[in-house]
Amino acid sequence: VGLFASIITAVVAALVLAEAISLLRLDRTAQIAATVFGCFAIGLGAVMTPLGMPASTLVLAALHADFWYLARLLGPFVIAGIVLVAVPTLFLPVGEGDPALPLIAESGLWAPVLTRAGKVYIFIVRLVGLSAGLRPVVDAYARHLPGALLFWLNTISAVVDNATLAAVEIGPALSSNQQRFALLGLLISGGMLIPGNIPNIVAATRLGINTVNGQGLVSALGCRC
Amino acid sequence: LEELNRDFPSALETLDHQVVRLALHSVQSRLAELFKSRGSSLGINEKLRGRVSTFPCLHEHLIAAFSCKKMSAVILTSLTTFAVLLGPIFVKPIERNVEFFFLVAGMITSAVTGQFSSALVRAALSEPIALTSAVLVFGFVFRLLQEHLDRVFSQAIGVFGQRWLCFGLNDHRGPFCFHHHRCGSGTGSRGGDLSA
Repeated sequence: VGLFASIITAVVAALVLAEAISLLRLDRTAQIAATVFGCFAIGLGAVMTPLGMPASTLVLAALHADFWYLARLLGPFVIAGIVLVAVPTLFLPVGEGDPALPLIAESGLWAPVLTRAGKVYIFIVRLVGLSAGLRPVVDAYARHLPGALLFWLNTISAVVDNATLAAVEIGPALSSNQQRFALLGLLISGGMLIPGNIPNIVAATRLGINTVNGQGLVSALGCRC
Repeated sequence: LEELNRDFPSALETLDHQVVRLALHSVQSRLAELFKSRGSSLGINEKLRGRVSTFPCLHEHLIAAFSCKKMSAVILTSLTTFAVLLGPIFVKPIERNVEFFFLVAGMITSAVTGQFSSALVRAALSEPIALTSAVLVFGFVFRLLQEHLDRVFSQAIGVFGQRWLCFGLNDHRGPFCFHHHRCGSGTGSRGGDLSA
């Protein structure tokens, strides 16, 4: 699902993930942990094409790069990252009871699909404007920052949606290495809390996971793995 | 003007080069006009130097800020960056109206920095089309196949076990291929008997 996310979009990949997670007979903590790992994988995989997620669309628009640019730039890191987040799920405790996180029913058959697409459209429109507005300032300052510093600065992506940060920060003034560091920082920390990334928001909404659960998820990572 | 030119290298170390270069150019033009209108260029220059030197180390910044209108744009966009990044987290009204806030912030910053144009509007309206279409198409496909997917997942749980299904959900190289075995038992359920 992580790698398919770059084709079927992170939003739909998160829906597929939520569908599958809701069928697992795991206890609540383990189910949340599985969701988090899955969202991590989707967040990582979806960045490889502009169809994957808003952040990759915005980055490619800002860089005027081709369809596979991000796959070339981040591919090996993304595949390694997906494998790394998949392995801990093998050690989640398996239960026998009913699934702890049933799906939250959506009202209407097609309306949610249209609403989601509309929200994605508006989300990107507003960030394209913001990205263009902030470009001169960011180009003047961000290009002087070393890649490692960009990586760590982007840990703020845990609480800020990573598409917003990508729109603000990534531009043609950055070198390939700086772009790689910045994007990896965004993707890794974007998976840590619910607001950090679109798949987290979609999966959390579908499974009724709130921020407190999400933070419990971090503890789940520590305890279970 | 020569003295001013000598002062500016220190400003170059503290301010952005482009901004200072623009500021220097602007200051030079402005001083040239002043000197021309008031006669002795040396006297005016001394007065000016004496007045601004009461702000040690800051006079370069002040000259740059006053003479280069770009500085206000830099300050405004820097503030906007902080507002955009931190506003939705710490300010409840922004969090509630984040869509509107980002739209307005984007329009203001692009207007202030001179980027707002019909080309930007066209780009803003056209860039999201590919991703939105993909979300729409795959969303519809997912909706159509949802019940079938549930059955496939349930069978996969029975065949591979929950651990490997979890692994397969995360890693494409997991055993998440649906054509190896038939489901034996222990199919999952979701608020009912889905195996049926």
